[in-house]
Amino acid sequence: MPDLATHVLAVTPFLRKAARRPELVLLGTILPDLAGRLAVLKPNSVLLFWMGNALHAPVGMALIIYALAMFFPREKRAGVLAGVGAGAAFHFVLDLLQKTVTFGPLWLFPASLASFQIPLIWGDESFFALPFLVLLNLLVYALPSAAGLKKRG
Amino acid sequence: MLSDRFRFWKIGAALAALAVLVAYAVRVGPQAYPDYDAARKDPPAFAGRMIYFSGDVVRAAAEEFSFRTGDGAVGTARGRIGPGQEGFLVAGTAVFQPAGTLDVVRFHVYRYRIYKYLLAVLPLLAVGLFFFRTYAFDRRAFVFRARSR
Repeated sequence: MPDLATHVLAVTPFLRKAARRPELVLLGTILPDLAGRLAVLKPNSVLLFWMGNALHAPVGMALIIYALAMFFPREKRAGVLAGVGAGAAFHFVLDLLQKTVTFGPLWLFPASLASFQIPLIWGDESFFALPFLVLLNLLVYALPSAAGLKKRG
Repeated sequence: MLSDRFRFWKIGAALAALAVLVAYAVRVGPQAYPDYDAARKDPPAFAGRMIYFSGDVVRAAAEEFSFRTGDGAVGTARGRIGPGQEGFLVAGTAVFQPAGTLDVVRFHVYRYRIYKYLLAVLPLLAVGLFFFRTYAFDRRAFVFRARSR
């Protein structure tokens, strides 16, 4: 997995106009790693390791998001599913791009334990992309605001 | 599916399905992806098989290296890892030898893993703060409600 900062900063440029509930998309962006990296708590635990893999898979994440949505008022649930689901989908797209020498997310679990990747960047080196992502966010957020101020001024 | 009818039963069903998924993963995962800790406990069963390994590098020599797994066991692997890698996480695939050593096929040393964990703190706090500034948990209705702005 890329680091959480990369996950978050890669999605924020799209939130400027596309999302009515950015907090839900951002929650979805970090949720797979919150649920899927339980092994950090006890690195030698086989249970936690495979629990993390099951929860980090798309089916497991869909169940978590559904359960989470049910903790919102009825009229908000579809929006929560869409927002958090979009964030999680974005997370998975970035995870798909990482190199691995063991195995990555189990995309088709429980139907299959196969893991496939489009190997572009090592998971621990993803933060090298951060300067570009910060710049991109500045371009998306700061420049239009500055231009607007200048226009009004 | 999203209605209030049987709401807690629906949440319970989703959590039960998650528990089944986890139980299934714990049962079949180690068979599909056997690791060094499993292999060293039953060497004859894994001799000549491809396994996964990961652990912190404790010694890096010219043609081999040692690593410490989460269980605290130290494994020896034949492969060129290069000097100065002690303390970093190494993971990869290898052929398990009957004597308990590994012939490395592929590996990667995760030199920057610490930064990855450090960098996780800030977005966690930021997203958590953003979420709880937007929503508050209504303990009577057991739902998150948008805070009035």
